[in-house]
Parts: sequence; structure tokens; C-alpha cells
Amino acid sequence: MQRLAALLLIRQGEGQRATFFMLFFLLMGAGLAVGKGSADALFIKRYGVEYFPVVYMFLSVHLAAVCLLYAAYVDRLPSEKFFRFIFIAQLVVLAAITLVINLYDYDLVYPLYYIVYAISSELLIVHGALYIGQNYDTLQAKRLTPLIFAGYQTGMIIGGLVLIFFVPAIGLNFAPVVWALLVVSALLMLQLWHVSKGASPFYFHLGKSSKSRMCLAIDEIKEGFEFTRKTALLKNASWALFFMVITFYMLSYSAHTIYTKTFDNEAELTSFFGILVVSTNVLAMLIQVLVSNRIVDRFGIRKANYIYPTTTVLSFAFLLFHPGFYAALFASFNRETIMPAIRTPTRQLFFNILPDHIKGRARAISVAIVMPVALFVCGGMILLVKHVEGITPVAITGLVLGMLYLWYAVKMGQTYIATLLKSMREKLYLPDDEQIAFGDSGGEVLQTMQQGLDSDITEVSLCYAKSMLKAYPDEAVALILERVKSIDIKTADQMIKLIGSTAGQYHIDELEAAMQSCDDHLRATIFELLIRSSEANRREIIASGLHSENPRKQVKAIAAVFSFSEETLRQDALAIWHGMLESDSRKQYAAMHLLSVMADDETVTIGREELTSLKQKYLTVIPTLLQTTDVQRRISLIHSLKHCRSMLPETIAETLLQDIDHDLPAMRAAIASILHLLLDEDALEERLWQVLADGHPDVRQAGLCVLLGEDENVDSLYRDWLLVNDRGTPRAHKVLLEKLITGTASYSMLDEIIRVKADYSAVLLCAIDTLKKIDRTPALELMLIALSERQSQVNDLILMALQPLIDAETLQIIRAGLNSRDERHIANAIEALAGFDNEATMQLVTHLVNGECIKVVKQGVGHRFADKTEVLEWCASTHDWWLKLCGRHALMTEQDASRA
Amino acid sequence: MRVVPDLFEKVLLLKQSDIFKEVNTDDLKLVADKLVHEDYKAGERVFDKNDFGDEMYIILSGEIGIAIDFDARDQQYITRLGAGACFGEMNLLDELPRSATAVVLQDTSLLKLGKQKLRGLILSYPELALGMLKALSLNLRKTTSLVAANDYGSDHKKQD
Repeated sequence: MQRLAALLLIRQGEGQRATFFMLFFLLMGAGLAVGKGSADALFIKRYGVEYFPVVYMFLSVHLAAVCLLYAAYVDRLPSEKFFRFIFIAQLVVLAAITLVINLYDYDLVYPLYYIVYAISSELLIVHGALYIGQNYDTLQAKRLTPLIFAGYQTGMIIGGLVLIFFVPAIGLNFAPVVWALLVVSALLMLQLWHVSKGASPFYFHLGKSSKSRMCLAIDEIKEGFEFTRKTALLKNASWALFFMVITFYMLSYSAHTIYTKTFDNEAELTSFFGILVVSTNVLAMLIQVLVSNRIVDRFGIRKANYIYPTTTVLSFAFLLFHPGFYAALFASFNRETIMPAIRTPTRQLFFNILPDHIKGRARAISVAIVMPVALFVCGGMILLVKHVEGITPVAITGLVLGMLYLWYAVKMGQTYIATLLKSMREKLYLPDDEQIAFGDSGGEVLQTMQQGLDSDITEVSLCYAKSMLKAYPDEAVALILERVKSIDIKTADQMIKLIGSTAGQYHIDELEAAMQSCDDHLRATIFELLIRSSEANRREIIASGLHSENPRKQVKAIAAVFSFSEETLRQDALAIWHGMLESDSRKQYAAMHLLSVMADDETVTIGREELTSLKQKYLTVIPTLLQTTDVQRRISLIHSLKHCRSMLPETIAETLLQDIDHDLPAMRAAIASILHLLLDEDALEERLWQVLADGHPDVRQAGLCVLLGEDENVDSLYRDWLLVNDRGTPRAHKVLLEKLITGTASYSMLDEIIRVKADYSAVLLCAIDTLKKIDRTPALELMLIALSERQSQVNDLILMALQPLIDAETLQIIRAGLNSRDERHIANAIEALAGFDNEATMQLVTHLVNGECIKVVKQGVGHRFADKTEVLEWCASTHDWWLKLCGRHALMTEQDASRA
Repeated sequence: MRVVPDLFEKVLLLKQSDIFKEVNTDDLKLVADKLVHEDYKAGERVFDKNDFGDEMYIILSGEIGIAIDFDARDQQYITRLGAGACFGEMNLLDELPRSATAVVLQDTSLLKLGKQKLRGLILSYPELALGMLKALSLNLRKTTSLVAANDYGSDHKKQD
């Protein structure tokens, strides 16, 4: 049973629903086969094949009316409920037709019966596909739609057999009754299923409205039409459908004309139609079960969609060059086998990617407007050319239109991926660039920004301050300085620095006024801004700062003496500096900020002797200052040490490294930022991998800065760090890759990274695959979870690296889809990935993301594991600390279990 | 009473809980370190309705009954939770009193996680919070779908 399910691509938990769908479609197919054979035979023999074009034109009008009604109401109800309405309407009409045929033998009932069949077949197939879409996600639908339609084909075969063996026995007049009985069976089955299983899981329920049904119907038709007009996929699909319908009915007309001449009486023709239905549907079913899904899987939906247009062109070519029974048979094979086996499921998959709220409506608009128009045109065309002897004119017209059909199928494929991504963007609520950007709309935006500036959340307030200074520099300074009065010192300090970096020099008066009402810390910050802004009286300002009571202000003044080369104040500044280092801890802490002055080669002219003397004093002061229990002070102190040029003494390094795993991320980040001053090269590398995998972004960023060094050596980042799979965790690699992508990563670098990471992901996938197949203890379960998490993280790295190579925005949407944990978005994301042109790479990535181990190994990456022990040993030997830990634990557990 | 689980079992238990299911297991190791083991005898109550609790519990062994209005004579529970189940998790995030009483039905071993410890971890390792938010968001989506389905169901009945 499991092997059969595997052969049919049915996965665990899908069996029951798939069986229901197959049986339900089987009953529909059987009914339609009986309807088709009997309607064709009755029409051709009792009414006349020459009336087909006129009937096509009538059919178009009726089809338009029915389908417009369908389009108006289809999204209002779950598909199963709509099916009930269709079935009941069918039963009423079939009962009436049976009565008329048997009691009155009124001629017009035959074209009516033909029209009923034609409308039913279109409506049921369209609605059936919508029904599948409301019960399966894209990937499930991709796998199972061919199978479900195979159920439909089986029904057609059974219907064909009924036509051959049963209908002649009861008389062709009672064929509508047989069809009606099959409709009743389908209706009962549908009711029973939904009573026990509830509504379709993916039905999108539209909200209630106060408008009347008719108004809503008109609105919906308008919306659907508008959507078709705006969506490239639907526009091309509509043109393709237009030419498909014309060619389909032209093939039908040509074949029927040949069959009418070949078979003399009604009974022979009915039997032939029965045999034709059975044989074409047996073939269709075989193709659908064994070939269709594999074609779709191998070549993708786009390419599979070119098959039917191509065979249509070939059919017309055959009819043109060798008109006769075999050409007619080939045309019937094309219509009855290729069409349902390949074209119909493929086209339904195209529609699955549309947004839920418009899916049914858009599909119905295509059918309600495009199909009837095409049918009308087709009828008109055949009427025009049928006076000429033979089917050559129809075949020539069909050949040209078939080529146009193929052209639009190709265009449909080109717009498929774009529509898929657009639909995902809509579903995942990813904003457009235009939505993020704001124009200069005046007071309203400023007012909103001011509200943001007043936010209680300091980060928010700071962000608004930044934006405000950029967008409204004139108004911003006063507003921010006002805000500074009521915000915490740290944020206030950052805000004042922001003013200084953007608009400081224009607002000296405002800054001076603000300084009066601030604490020492902020005064020092403003003082620094004033020094920078006041060229004319800078020396006086600095001199006043040197002799201030505020040590922070003194520090700013000393720094300014050296950076602005105020030679007259130099000796005074040095004396104060030495004095501060010899003074109390408050002044010593303040003096730590002057380490940056010592490190600045360009602006400092301190002199070697002075530098040595200061350095000595600092090395004496630092260990004492580090003993503080005030964490914030300690962090600030560590930040000051960043400016040291040489390795710190071992005793200081040891003290500092004790805090590398501190609970406070700010402390971890501070230590990480000076790791290069604490550790030798080997120890530094080991430690940096840990830091880059830290749970806090600030710590990771600090580690990255150390790794890159001052010259931001991206090449080394790529060569020595990103191309290794056996160091660090994916989180650490992500930090590096992000940096590489935002920097100057070449395409060859990214290509190489994708290859290397894909290889690692493949190994992880094979390990997962091995563990999935066995009974798992809790230790193995954890191992499996850890491996799956890692594989998903590595896949995300691959997609990140792909971003610049393909289209950053597109990949971002796909990544969001894959990370959404929503089956439908994941399915659409994988589908979008598979649709890219870079075949080998994208195919590999798709298999990796989709967890298809066998296919990945076939592509030459990864390697299969013999058993769980090999997996665990591999995990235990990796450099990924967590996999190693879980691997060792699981190995020990397994060994304990085997000993016991 | 059950032997105290090792770190790996704790991680697995956390991973299986609703609130931590989207957090990566290597990050959950940090949370697992903060879990405290507690044993309860049958008949005891872990907490009462309206208590201001700030702990989440994971059941290692035994059985816990959750009652909205607990009455010792007429013991009616809205649910009975067994090994591996998690309760009280919402109190990790909100400041509201307990919405139900948790009664020990059989001798039970629990793992307890305190709010303050978790908050400290979240501040230190924000990735934890992202995972928890993701789990909450997924739960919200599920609830929305259920509400929508129920809404549809009632509409369906009305139309029938």
C-alpha cells in the first residue's frame, strides 16, 4: 500500500482526502462521458453535423450567461456548496430533457442537450479545479492534481463502457437518466464528506456586505475583469484560452465531419463514440498517472504548458496534409487525451498562484468572457468557410490559430513567476519601496515625526530624531533639544551628537542655551559641539574647558587642544591630563576617553616621551578601575580600551575575558570589540566564531568589526571564513555573508559560496533523511530537530547568497515565504525557486529546500549515510558546537542502550 | 518521582511546548539551564485561579487537571495534562492573574521557568524572543483560521 502511495506521489496523511477526490471526480467524469457520447450522437444523427457552427454560437451566449452568474457567486460560497447548486440545476434540466425526448421528440431538444453537456463539462472542470485549490496547497496540488484528474479519466472510461454496453440496451433516449443517476451519486458523496470533514480548509471567506447580490455580482465581475486586465499572467492566459477554444472546436468540427461520413447509423456512431471515449481516456489516464506529474516535476509548469498547443498545431497539420479517419482520430486524441491529461491540470496549477480572494473570480471571468467570445468567433469562422468542400479551409485556419495559441502559451510562461512573486508579496505583506518612502508632504509628516520623537521608547525616539534631522533640518534642532530635557541621559547624549553630526554649526545659540539646563555629561557633549562649531573663539572656549570643574569637559578640552593643534595650550593640557590620571577615580575614568587621542596619529603631536609616560600611567590605572562593580562604568572603560594600539598585558586580558559570557549583551559586545587586544591569533579565531554566533546582534557586530579590522578586508572574510563549512554555526556565517553582500562581493565569490553551502546543506539533508527513517529515542529526536534547524539555516544562507545573483527583492520574498511556516507560502516559494532559469543551481537549491535527498545526491552533492551511527559520529566530529554536543549525547545514549 | 531530566531532554521538552516551538534548540539550551525541578503530591495545587504567578511549567511525569472554577467536591477539569504538556506559559508574557487553577491529580514532577529569568535571557539573547513571537504569531493565525471556519460553519447552517 505504501509503495502504491509512493508511486502515486501520495504522502503520509493525504490518502483519505486524495481517495475522496479521485472517486468524486470519477463520478463526475462518468456522468460527463455518458452526456458527451449521447449528446454528440443524438445531435449529429437526429439534428445534423452542419448545424454545429450555429450551435457553437448559441452555446457561446448560454455559456457567457451561466459563467457570468458563476463568476458573480463563486467566491461567495465554499466550492463544495457551489457544487451542490450546480448538481441540482443539472438534475432539473436533465429530467426535463428526458421527458421531452421521450414524450414529445421535439427536435430542438438535441441542440439543447448538446449545450447542456458543453456547459456542464466546462463548469464542472473549472469548478473542480477551484475545489482542489481550496483543499490543497500549491505543492500538494502540483503532485495530486494529475492523480485526481486521473480519477476523472477513469470515470470517463467507465462512462464510455456504459455507452457501449448499457445505453444501447436501455435506448439512447434514456442516456440523460444514466447521467442524472451519476450526478446524484456525486452529490451524495460530496455531502457525506463535508458533513464529516467540515468545510474546505483553504476556502477564503469574503466578508458580509450590505449591498444586494446583484450589485455585488456586478462589482465582482468588474473586479475580476479589472484584475484580468492588470495581471499579465491572466491577460496572456486569456489570449491563450481564446485561441485554444477556437482550435478545440475547430478540431471537434473537423473530426465530427469525418466521423459522420465514416459511420452510417446512430447505433454505430454511439458505439464508436463509446469506444473513442474509452480508448482516449484510458490513454489520458495512463499519461496522467505515470507521465503528467513527472513532466511537471521535471520540466516545471511553464514548459508542460507548451505541450498541448504544440500537439494542436500538429493535429491541424495532419488534417491539412492527410485529411481522413486517422487525422480525425489524432485530432480526437489531442482533444480527449492530451487536453485532459496535460493541458487541464497544468493550467489549473497556473491559477493556483493567484491571490485567494480573486482566484475563482479571475478564473471564471476567463471562462465567462473569453470562452464564449472565442466560441462565437469559432462558430462564425466555420460558418464562413464550411461552404468550401472538405475540411482544408478549417485546417488552414486552425493551423494559424494554433500557432497563435502556442505563442500566448509561451508568453503565459514568461509571466508566471512574476505573478507568483507578486501574489506572495501580497500574502506576506511585504511593503513596496514606494510605500516605505515618503514625499515631502509638509506639516502632516513633521507632526507625525514629532509624535514619534516623543515616544516613550528611546530607540523609536532616536530613529525619529534621525529622520527628522534629514527631512526637516531647520525645524528638527529646536524640537530635539526640547525633547532632550525629558529623556534619559544616554539617549539625550546620542541625540545631541546627532545634531552635531548633521546641523550643529547652524545652531550654536540654541546649543548654548540648552547647555545651561543640562547635567555634566550632556554639558560636555554640547561643549564638544561648540568647540567644533565656533572657529572664531575656539581657543577661549577650549581654555575655559581645561580649567572646568567638570572632568568630562576637561577631557573634551584636552582632546580639542591636540586635534585642533592649539600649541599655546599644549603644555597646560598635558599637565592637566597627567593630573587627572593621578587624581581620584572620577577623573581617572574621564581620562580614559583620552586614549583615543593617544591613538590618533594624524592629529596628535604629543611626543614619544610624553606618550610613554602617559601609557605607563594608564597601565597602572586600568587594573584598579576594572575592579569597579558598576557594570556600566566597566563597559564604558572597555570601550575606551578599543583605542589601544598594542596587546593588553595578560593580567588585564584575563580579567576582561571573564566577562565574555556575561548576561549583559552590552558587556559581551564590549569585550568582543577588544578581543584582538586580548588573544593571540589562534585563540582569537576560535573566540571570534563563538562571538559571531552570539544570540545578540550587537555582540555579533562587534565580532565582525574585529574580524574585518580597520581596512575591512572582505577578501579574507570570504576566503578564510565563509568558504569553510567546518567552523562556526550558520548564524555566524550569516553575519559574514551579510557583510560580504553589502560590500563588494563578486559573482564568482557568491557562486562559490553557494556551491560550498549547498554541499553542506546536502550532507545535513542526507543525515536528516537517515534519521527520519528509523525509530527515534528522545536523544535521536533532538538530533533530528537540531539537524533540520541547521539545514534550514544553511538553506537560508544559500538563498541570501543567491540574492545579488538573481534578484534581491525576489529572493527576499521567497525567503519570507519559506520562513513563514505557512504550507501554502512555502509551497509557492519553492515553486518560485523552481521557476528560475539558472537551471542546475536552482534545481539543486529547490531540491535542498524541498528536502529531496535522493535528487540532491543524484546531482553529485552530499553523501548518503550508512546508518544512524554514521550520522551521529559525523555530528559528534563537526565543529558546530551544538551538533557536536547533540551528536555526542545521542552516541552515548545509543551505546548505553546497546549495553543494557 | 522521576529522575531529573538532563539538559538535552529539557531542550526537547521546551521545543515541544507551544511557546518555544519556533526557537532553535541551540538557543533553547540557554532556557533549559534556567529550568527548576519541582515535585508535587496528588491533591496539591500548583497555583490557583487569580493568583499572580509568573512561572511556566512543563510536566515531566504525573497528571495535572486544569479547572476554571475548582471545587474540591465536584472536581471538573477543562483539561487533563500529562507528561510533556506545558501550562501557565501565558503568564511569562503578561501581567494578568492566573485564569484557572492547576490541580495535581497524580504525584507529579514539574520543570518550572520563572518570568524574570526568561526576561533576562530575552534581553540578553533577543533571538529567543523572535522565536517566541513567531510561535505566538503562528498560534494567532491558527486561531484566526478556526474563528473563520466557525464563522463559515454558522453561516453555512443559517443558509441551510
